[in-house]
Amino acid sequence: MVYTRSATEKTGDQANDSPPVLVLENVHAYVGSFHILQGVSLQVRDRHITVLLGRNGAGKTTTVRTIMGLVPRSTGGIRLAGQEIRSLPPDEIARRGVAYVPEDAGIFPHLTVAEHLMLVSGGNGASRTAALEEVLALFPDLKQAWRKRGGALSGGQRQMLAVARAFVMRAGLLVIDEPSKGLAPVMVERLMESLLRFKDHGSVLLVEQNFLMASRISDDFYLIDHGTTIRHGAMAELVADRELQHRYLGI
Amino acid sequence: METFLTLLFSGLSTAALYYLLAAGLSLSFGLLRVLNFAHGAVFVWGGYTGMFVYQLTHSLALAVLAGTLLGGALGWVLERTLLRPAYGNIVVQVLTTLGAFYVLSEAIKIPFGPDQVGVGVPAFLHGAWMLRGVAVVKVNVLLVSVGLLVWGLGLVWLTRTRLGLIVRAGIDNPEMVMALGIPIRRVFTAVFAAGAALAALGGVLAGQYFGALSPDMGLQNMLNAFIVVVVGGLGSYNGTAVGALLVGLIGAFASYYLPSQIVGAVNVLIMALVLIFRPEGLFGEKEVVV
Amino acid sequence: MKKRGRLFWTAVSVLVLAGLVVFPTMWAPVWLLSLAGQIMAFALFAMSFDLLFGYAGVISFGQAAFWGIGGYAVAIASRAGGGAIATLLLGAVAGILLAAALGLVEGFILSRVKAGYFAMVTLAISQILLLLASSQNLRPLTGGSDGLNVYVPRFLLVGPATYYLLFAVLVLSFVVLYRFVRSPAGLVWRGMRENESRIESLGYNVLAYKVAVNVVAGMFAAVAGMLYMLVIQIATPELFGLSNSLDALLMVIIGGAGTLVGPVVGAVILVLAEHELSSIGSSVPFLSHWLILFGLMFILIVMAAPRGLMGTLDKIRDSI
Repeated sequence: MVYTRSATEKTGDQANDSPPVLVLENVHAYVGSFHILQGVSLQVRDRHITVLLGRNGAGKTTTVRTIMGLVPRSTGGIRLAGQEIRSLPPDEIARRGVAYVPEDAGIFPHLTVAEHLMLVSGGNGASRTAALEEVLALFPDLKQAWRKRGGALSGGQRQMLAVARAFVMRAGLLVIDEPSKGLAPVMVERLMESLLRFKDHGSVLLVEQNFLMASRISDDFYLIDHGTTIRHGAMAELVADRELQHRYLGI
Repeated sequence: METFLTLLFSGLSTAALYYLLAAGLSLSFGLLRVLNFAHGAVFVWGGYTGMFVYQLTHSLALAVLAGTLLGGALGWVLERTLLRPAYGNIVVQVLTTLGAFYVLSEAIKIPFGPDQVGVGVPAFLHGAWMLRGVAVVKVNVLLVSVGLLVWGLGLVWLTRTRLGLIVRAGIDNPEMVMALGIPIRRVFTAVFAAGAALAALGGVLAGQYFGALSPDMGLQNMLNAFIVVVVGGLGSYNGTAVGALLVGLIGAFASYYLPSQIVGAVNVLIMALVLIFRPEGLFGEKEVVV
Repeated sequence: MKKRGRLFWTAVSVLVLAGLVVFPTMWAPVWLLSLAGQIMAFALFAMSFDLLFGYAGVISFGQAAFWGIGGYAVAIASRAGGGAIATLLLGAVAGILLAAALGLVEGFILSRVKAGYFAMVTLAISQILLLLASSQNLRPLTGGSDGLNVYVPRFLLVGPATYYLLFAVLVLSFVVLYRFVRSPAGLVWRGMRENESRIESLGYNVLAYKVAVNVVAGMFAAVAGMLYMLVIQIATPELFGLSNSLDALLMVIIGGAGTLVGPVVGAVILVLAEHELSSIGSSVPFLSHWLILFGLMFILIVMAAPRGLMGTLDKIRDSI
């Protein structure tokens, strides 16, 4: 593992905070006969937004799918709040407090907005209503689309619904894959707001190609290339380091 | 006019029978993406169980209950042993369920023999009511009522219950349902078992309808159910019902004018035409996975 | 190492072939020739199915449709001509053309739908043919559920003549099919099995290849059905039955899919096993239900060793 000096110091910083929510240690993953992840290590701090950056095909999506238990063959350590979760089934991982938003937002085309939220609001009666009302206060748009089917929502609405679903699940960690893809700038703004709000409750692991968006809301960054995490640190450092941006992100 | 109405009622009752078989096939396919080739064997096992229990107890209710429960149990075992280890591998699932069809169809011959056997029918189902010259066969009324009941209850279950909500979400995207913390594999088992139970219920009623059962009824009826499902669109709930109506009615009218073997060919022809011109079925959506 | 292995297998093949040619001249009881004939007919049938299943990756549950078409073509022609060779050949040609036509129709459906659907459609078509063959209305043509006796030309009844005819057709078909799967078209089929959209993006007409593989497999299955008739000399509707399609599937899977040799091995194993089990079955009642054992074996093999015997042997050889 190659970590830069500054990154090591960063790890020292983290020790002062509460322990990391999610830790990946030298994770390898295989899809078919391809060895996609070849040593991914990262940490997501409590109530922080961590962004995973890298070129297309670097292994970002495979990383988050591996965290969710959706990649059948993997090795290494994945710990959620100190507990090993790598060999658990996806539903068990989700029940331990991870909300996952895949690249297409994971919206069900035939279910209404209301049904999407009912699907994940496990409790009954009062607690359920409370959770729903809280979310609707945060996302007033969704109230208007309440009876609309998932297939009829706009790209922005879909992402909002996916984030709202994570709120209703009361997940401690939101893992979200390229939410800004294909969204109009105004929707990207709203999305960023909602992710920042999520920080009040928990942590976010964000995969993003939109560097501008990532740089504005993320606290920490990880760079992934050829299936390996090669750099990490505070977002501010990356923003300052034009050369690094150019080399690995082609900006 | 009398002929028309008589054919209409007879078509409706075969439609109901096809529906009971096709509903389970279609729902299992929609959720599990599995084309279950063992379905016809479960139908036959349900039929023989019903016949046997009726012989013992002379109670149609008990016969229906026993047949349906046995079908559900068979479905549960099949899902656990054959399907579960092979999700994602359609080839293996198709081959093993066909193997199971073969084994079950042969095994039923051990206690009941390879030939057709008569089925006891309770007295209240004998004969027909005459309504203005139109014969309304009592068994047919039973079949149509059960078919409508199953369709209605299924609709309520899918749209008004939590399990139904999970099933509908799973039909759209099973992986995502799982990633939301819902143990969808258990729902798979339940749905598959329920589908098998419906097929077995169909078997019990088929015994009443035909007054006889034979081990090779399974294949013929399963093929008709497949045709229904293809015509209606795999995984489409109401499409299956409409498909059953179409195939049942066309069959009834065709058999009045054509020899029965040709009717089977007519059904296959309908299926071939649908597959060539609208592979997703009349009410299905694009992107058929199998 | 590899070269020595090839030499070894060539030597084995030559010895086996020579043995098969020579043995009937020394010892040829009727039961043995008949058994060998059944094995060879099923071997060709299974090979035709391997083309579809093993090479092109297509699951059909109705290969028996072609087997039955071939069988009935010969049976009907033999009755019409009273066993005259000319009529018989005419019937054979008609059977092959009919099989090709059905292959064309099925191939067209195949190009429109995915795996499970096609299995279902082919099963339905073979089942319809079974019903038609047993239909009372067609009794004058097909003999209904009693079937038709096949009049075999006299010269084929002399000693092992039928045996040698079947042997020659089998070897010839094997060579033709072997060349076929090694040809550029064969490579495209295998490519289709692995990744259809990729083959399509390379500019191949996937539709044409799918239709072609189904036509060729159907024609060879029809020839196999004809050979079978020369051995068992009666055509019954059961020729179209699911159990025959399943037999082909089982032979290919036992022997190893995508090998062409595997299905032959599978046919030997399965026909011998059926022969033995059905004769034991008359004394041990439980074994009279040996079809159940076959079904269970089929399920277990599919789940445990989808590569089959030959494939597994290859794997073992590779690992040594």
